[in-house]
Amino acid sequence: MRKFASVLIALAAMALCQPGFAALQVDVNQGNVQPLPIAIPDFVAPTAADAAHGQDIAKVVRSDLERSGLFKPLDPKSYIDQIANINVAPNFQNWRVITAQGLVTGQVAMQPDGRLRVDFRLWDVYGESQMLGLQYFTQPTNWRRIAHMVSDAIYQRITGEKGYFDTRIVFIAESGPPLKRVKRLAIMDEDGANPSFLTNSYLVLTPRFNPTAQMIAYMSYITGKPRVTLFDLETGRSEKLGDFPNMTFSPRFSPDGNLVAMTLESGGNSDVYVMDLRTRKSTRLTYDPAIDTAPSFSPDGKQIVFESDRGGSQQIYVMNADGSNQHRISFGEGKNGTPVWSPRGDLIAFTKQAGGQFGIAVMHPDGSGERILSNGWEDEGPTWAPNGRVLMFTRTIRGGRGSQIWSVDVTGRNLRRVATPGDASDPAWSPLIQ
Amino acid sequence: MKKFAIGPKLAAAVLAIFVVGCAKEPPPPPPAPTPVVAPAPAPVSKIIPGSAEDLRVNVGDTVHFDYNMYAVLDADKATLQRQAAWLAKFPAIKVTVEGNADERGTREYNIALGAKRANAVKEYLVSLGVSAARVDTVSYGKEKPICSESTESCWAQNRRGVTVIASGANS
Amino acid sequence: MRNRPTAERAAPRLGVVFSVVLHVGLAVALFVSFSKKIDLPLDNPPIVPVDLVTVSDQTNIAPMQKPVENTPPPTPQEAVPTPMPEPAPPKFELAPDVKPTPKPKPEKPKEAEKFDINDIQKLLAKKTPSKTASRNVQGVGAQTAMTADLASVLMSEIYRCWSPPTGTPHPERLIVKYEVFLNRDGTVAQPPQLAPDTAAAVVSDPYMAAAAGAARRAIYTCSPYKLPADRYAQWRNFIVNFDPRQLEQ
Repeated sequence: MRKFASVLIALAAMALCQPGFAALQVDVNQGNVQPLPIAIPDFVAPTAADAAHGQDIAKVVRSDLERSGLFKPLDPKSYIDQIANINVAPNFQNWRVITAQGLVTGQVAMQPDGRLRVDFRLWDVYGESQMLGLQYFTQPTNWRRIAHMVSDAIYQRITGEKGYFDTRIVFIAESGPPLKRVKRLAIMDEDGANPSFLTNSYLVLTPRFNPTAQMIAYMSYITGKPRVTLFDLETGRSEKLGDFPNMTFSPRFSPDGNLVAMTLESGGNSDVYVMDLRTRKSTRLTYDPAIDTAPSFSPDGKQIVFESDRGGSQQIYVMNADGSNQHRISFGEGKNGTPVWSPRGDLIAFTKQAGGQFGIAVMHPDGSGERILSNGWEDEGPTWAPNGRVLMFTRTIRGGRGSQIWSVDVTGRNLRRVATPGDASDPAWSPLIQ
Repeated sequence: MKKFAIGPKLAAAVLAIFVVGCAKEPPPPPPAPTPVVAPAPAPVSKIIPGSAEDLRVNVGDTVHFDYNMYAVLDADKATLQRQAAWLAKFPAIKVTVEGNADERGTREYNIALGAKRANAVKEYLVSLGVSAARVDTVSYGKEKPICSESTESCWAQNRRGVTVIASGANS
Repeated sequence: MRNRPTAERAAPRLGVVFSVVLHVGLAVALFVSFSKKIDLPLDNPPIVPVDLVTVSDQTNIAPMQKPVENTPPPTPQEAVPTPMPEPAPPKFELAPDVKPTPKPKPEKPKEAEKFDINDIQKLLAKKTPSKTASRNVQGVGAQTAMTADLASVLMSEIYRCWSPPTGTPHPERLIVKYEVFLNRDGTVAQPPQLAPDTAAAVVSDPYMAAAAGAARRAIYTCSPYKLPADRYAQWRNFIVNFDPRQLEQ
């Protein structure tokens, strides 16, 4: 501590005696938001057998970074140089010529023990310096995850926040005609790879991950009445949560994973409860005769945002985690529901219904700074990427023509459809995989 | 405005004509607080009394709701009165009221709204003397539409409460 | 910090320190395995099997320029990316009349948990060159009318190259100040220097680190700057202030 203080003093002293930093001052207060041009050549491989992995990994990294909207991976056909050895500095000029500002060089090699070794370096092409260098070992079958981890590392180094490529999406896979929809619980990688079904054809809705991405809470009609159900990805077992006479729905885990906030219906009235998964005791948090539902914890676990029509229309409210201090925060146009607190804490995303449209919007937890990010016939049910930077949501097409999953950057840029095996709804984004 | 006023009256008139035309018995007393049986349409052959089909075809299993509302409409009270009388006639039968919503609401809200609608139907039946223990409720929110177009007439059909037999049916 | 006294030694020995830390880390990691295997339920018929969790280990790449020491056997290690030392200091041509200065390293953002008192000291050490670099500057002080036109030319060039960070929680904090050194031909003479008041923030705040990176790329990608050669003395070095407050969504 003393040391720290002395450094501070030194720093302050330096700031004072720094005699003229230069005279000419340039203030830049306009910018030109552009994705970062980056070159990601196929990873080099010592043998032809490894070459396929090198190509596959580079392809996934390019695709990940492109999807984020913050990077522009340059077309490999435009490269005028080749990377032969990642352990010597690249010829930066050859990458500047094709406008690359970042360069990723990598290498894959099968190890004698059967594992795959993946090395990569991220270079600042103009600064001519290495920004990052990492090495991974894995079973060859896991090359996709390594590729996502490489993407996450690059994303974090460039943007300052953790990536979200090594994550999964749980969602509702839809099939069948509009009046006989079959909805099943399904899971896939963030980029749409490795999709699989987790349940059969009974109706399921609104899945959510727990903080370790090992458990999914969702709403199941398997017994006829909707019940909040837990699905353990490790064992494959599912379990009805709690023993309540009536409907339970809209579950969401607390940030520590110990609690599930959900809605209990009794005599037609819906209220917010919290159940402790360790003691299985539930606590009622709202007592209003109006509809109170869709609870979501703040990242510190101290508050819960939820929706209620107690004021006459569906609006967003915040309360303390013990139910005290319930107050409305949404005062914008129309009706507002399905609030979800950002993992970063700075924003609440929600569904806005106004002017005959449903859109996804964000606001600060005090209700200020509302911004609409998407607008559609029926956009609803946002879910946050674990870094609080990107949202996914359900977009239902007018006239019963199905549902899709879309994503949008928190700035409102980069709106795009998420690849799913078929129609899909109710996405929930996992935390980064442990 | 006038046009709107005509709607219900017209509907009532049509209903009256329908009732008069089809019924063999005299029309029921206007507002019936007690479970007086509203006359059912003429029984169609081969429908077993006390069956699911009997409930659906001869009694009427569906009532509708206004947008974002859960109050039982006056126009639907006759249907529920018939249901109550029918339940009195078949005491072994237990029913479930399914609440449904149109697509113009968020998923969770519609589940909650459907629950209120189902409960409103249940309470009306109970007020007519049906034992609460014989009437269960469930909500499907917007998950079970019977009409898929994005039009007001479709949404009106989907905003409904449906009484279905849970157990004790004749077959 | 107290348990790493070796790190207090002078900069030249950092390599040794790094190596020691790395080896200790590896030794510790030998006892830890993070491998997990998860099987999906088999009782649900139409399931495409999926391998949920993989083994993913990761260690550092050996520094490039040094002969690669015998790589320690691959060791399972927690997947926390660790910034690597740069393999080689970047080479830059210096302007002819600028006294060669020790090459300052570009700012290197660290993760918050990596915060180390020694980093600040290093940072301080790196700041020294800018003193010498700016000693020739005449008219120290506020901006003068004489250079206002240059500032506006530079502004109009640089902003086009600046892709500021977006979507951050506190854009108003991300003001980055760099000192830039140019050659007579308008190219960048040496790596831009973070102003002291920005440098500390860069160390502790990853968003600031990213903002500094974006600013630095703007400085480089916009060069060479087209400026009047006869006034080189006025623009050979300057301060550029990247201020995103007015442009956030």
